[in-house]
Amino acid sequence: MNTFKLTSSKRCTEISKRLFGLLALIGLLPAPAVEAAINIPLIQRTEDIRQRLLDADKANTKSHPQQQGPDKNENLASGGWYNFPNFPNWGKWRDWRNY
Amino acid sequence: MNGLLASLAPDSPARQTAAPPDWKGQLQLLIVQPSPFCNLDCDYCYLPDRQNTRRMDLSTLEAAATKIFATGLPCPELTVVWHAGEPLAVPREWYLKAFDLLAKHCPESVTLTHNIQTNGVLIDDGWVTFFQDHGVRVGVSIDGPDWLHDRHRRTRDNRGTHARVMRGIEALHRGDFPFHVICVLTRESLDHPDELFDFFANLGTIHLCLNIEEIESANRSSSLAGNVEDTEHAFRQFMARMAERLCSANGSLAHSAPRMRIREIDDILLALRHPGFGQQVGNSQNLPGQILSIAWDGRFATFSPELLGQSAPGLGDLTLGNVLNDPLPPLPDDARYLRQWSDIWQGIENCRKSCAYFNFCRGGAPSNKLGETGRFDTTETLFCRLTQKAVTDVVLAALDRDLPSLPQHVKPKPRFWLGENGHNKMHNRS
Repeated sequence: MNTFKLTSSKRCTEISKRLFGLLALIGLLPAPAVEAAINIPLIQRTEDIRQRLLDADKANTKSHPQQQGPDKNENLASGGWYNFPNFPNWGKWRDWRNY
Repeated sequence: MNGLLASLAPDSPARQTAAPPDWKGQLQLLIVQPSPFCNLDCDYCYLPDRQNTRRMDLSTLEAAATKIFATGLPCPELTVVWHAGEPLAVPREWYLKAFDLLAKHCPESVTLTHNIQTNGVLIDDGWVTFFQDHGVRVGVSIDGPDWLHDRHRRTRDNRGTHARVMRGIEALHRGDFPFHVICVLTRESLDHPDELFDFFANLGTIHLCLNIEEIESANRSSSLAGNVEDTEHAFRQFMARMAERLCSANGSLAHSAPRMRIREIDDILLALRHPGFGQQVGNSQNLPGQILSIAWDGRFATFSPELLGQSAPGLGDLTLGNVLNDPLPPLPDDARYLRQWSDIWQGIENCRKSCAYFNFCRGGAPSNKLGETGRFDTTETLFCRLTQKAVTDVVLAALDRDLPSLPQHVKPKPRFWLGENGHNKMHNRS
């Protein structure tokens, strides 16, 4: 495609795309956050369930404050699960404190 | 140009690819190998050199402690795990000196907890008193009833070890000492969820951790790797049944205070509840400096603990140095370290771009990627299909069944990793 035969607006778009492509190529731009291969319905379903879980946690705290989610558990409360912004150790090497 | 500017920010993933994160204040888990020796010879063990009876010299431990604490590597709550061999094969007197030595170097701002992961065979009343006196947390490796456990966890003269482990657990019970359990799931275990649940519920463990028989390091085969479709189906059935049993025992997966917890299920619930869900990239195994593994002779590595002493094609030895004569943390321009980081980071990025479960695992485990594919920059492994994807599906299905629906007008915004311009790209699309 000859960029310079395009209209001014399209030409700008084309040049921008090539510029950003070049920056991505040399590592200055991260790849797109979400690509088509990702299972979008699963992500949406996850968020729906997550919201319901958080709502239920809130309701549960009101009715049974002693049994609210894991942050009320003695082991977990002292173990740093909520060391936001970092997640705790992950997978099978999860922090032994929390066992 | 917001995207470009954001990509040049210090915390941008693009930037991190070039410069690995600072280790300062990041160390959560310090794994120390007091000896590579193990008194058992389990057929799925990933550790090489298990017949070597050498012991870590206390001067080596002191060199490590000096560097770790003087450079401010630990986060405020540091967990030390004595592992990578049978830790109880080393006498209590050695640990007394080792604990004193670490306490001497540990600043007041850091809380240090000692943990021992043992095959349980050598636990006796003396060890239980030691655990109590020093606040040591204990995990016992046992694979269920004897007819499952003894198939793989055997002595060098090929005898089963279940009865001896149970004697160790009886000692823990006599001392009223709480412990967690690691159970390795092989293909045959997957057909017996009820037997395993009942066994562990009756054993009195506070937390059941279900490892799978993995292909990594010295273990080059797995009973789970033969027919992957069959394995995945069986594993999903197995985990669904475990979740069902937890629900029937406690009334709810999400809101209960069960006597026994299951790590894999807890992990998914905790990820969902975490305020940073959907905004995190990387985990403790694939980001440097969060886990540090030190071998008996002072060699050290970061990332997955199983990588210590291993080599990788194109990367060579994955050891980053020796605490006795190399800088810890490694220098930022250390070529070996940078090559590992670059490949592992690429693996995280590839996962992020292609997997809907990324918010749960945040890039997977380098040791499993290497063990199964021979590379760090790959994505899906059998390990992640089972322990991440299948478990996530099981927990989501159980929650979906148990939790009340959202009101019609509420449409939650999907949280996925924040794009380079600081906005949730999925949300912007809708």
